[in-house]
Amino acid sequence: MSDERKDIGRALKSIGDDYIEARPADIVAVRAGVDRYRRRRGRLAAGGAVLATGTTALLVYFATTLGAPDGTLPPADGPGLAIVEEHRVVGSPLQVAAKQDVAWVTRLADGVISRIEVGASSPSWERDVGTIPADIQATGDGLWIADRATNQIVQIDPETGARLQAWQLQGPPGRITVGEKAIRTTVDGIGVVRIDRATDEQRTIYEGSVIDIAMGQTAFWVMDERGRIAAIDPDSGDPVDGLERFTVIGDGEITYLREALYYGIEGNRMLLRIDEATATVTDRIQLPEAYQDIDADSNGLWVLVRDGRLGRLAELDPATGAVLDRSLDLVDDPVDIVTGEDGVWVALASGGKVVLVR
Amino acid sequence: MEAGRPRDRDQELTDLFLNHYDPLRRLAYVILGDASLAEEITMEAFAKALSKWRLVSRADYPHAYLRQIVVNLCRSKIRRKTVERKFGGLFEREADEATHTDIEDHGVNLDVWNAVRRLPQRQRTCIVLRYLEDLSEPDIAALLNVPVGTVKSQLSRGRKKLAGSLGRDVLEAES
Repeated sequence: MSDERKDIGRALKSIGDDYIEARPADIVAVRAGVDRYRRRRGRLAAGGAVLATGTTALLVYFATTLGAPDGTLPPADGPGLAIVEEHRVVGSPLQVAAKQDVAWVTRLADGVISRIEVGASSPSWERDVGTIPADIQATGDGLWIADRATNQIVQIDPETGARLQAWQLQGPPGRITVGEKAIRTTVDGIGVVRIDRATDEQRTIYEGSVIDIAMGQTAFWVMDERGRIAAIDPDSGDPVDGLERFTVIGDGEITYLREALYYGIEGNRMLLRIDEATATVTDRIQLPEAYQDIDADSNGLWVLVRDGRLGRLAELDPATGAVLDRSLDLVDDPVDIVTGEDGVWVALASGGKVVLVR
Repeated sequence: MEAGRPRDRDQELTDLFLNHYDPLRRLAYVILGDASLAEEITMEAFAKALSKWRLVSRADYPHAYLRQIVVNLCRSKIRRKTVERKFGGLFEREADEATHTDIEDHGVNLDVWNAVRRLPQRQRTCIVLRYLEDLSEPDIAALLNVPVGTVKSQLSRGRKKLAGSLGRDVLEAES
């Protein structure tokens, strides 16, 4: 019997080292993955219960991002889409919000936000707002940031970057929606908290480990870590009559667009469309590659899919959910999209840039 | 505000990932035997740690902090595997074949590893922490939050089982 067999430690180290050598890590991609994981599933800090379902998307993210060879995405042959602007930002952009002809970009590793105007050659400002942004939303009167570092919702002046107002929460916020009268945010360990913008009153309108929220036309939608989706009144939190709570598989993300709720899990090729009026799944949309993000504007319904570090922005038929030919291949880790007045903004994490597509 | 200026913090984060990501995923991999799962868990450990960035950035030994999270996540994952197998799901992960193929040629090392992987979860974790991470029995006890005597008994049972699988030399090597 050899010495190696006697030495358990040496054998285990050898196996472990071989594994590391066989699957070299791209630290930039790993960091981006960790950050996106924290941002999109900000309830991680809530506790171990999230492990029951919360790991699926990340797991598939690895299968598609780190485990898949680059260059495997079939070429898009769709007409009519092109990158019309390219904006460099310092570091890795991860999330983008847009309003009219301006986009605001968060980046990995710090709380710096870049303001980018259409047609400008460089960001109009880059400000350290001192946050770990879990979510960012742009409205007419502010740029809203869910800050996990200080457990605050912070309102930023979208023009100057100055801090306008902040609301202290009892735990780390995750996803936010901002309306004229109220802000609603997920809070780790609590659920969904409604903040009255006039009185600053905070009220828990839904208790549980909430992963994502979406404001619909007739209800406020809440999804918990077990994939249970509920329709509640956005002010009282009461269940909406006639809309039974239902369950999807896993804890992906929900997005309300054009009178329908979309449910997708990063890394999976299926996108579910849910009719708001009946709270039933009406379409199971098969995507060409793994789901990454979805958004809509007056010109179209857009989905971002990806395979490894490559991605594709594709238009969906708003009536049927079918993937249309109009699409554009993207490189450098496209991680987030948002529609603006001038097109679709795409954050390219490893490319250090944000592009405008139309 | 976070500790440090943005560029300082960015460098700290870079160092954290560069220094600890590979050793931690190696540990998770040896415990779990699943490459993707190991990476998932390691990422999750970083995500958890970064949620407490101030604590991690000021820790004298951040690797220990991260390692504890990884080990706890591994233990949770092992416990959940039975449930996952039972219920399955719509979104199932594809089998991770590549890495297993890569290491198939490693003969005796693979024999040892396979024997370790057949151990019950607690024995396996103790064995891996003892022999891969070179932790002392008291350190393992502290990490797992169990009495030292429990660690000793788990290691003893684990070594006996390994001896049964691999031969008596395993026992002799430890004694």
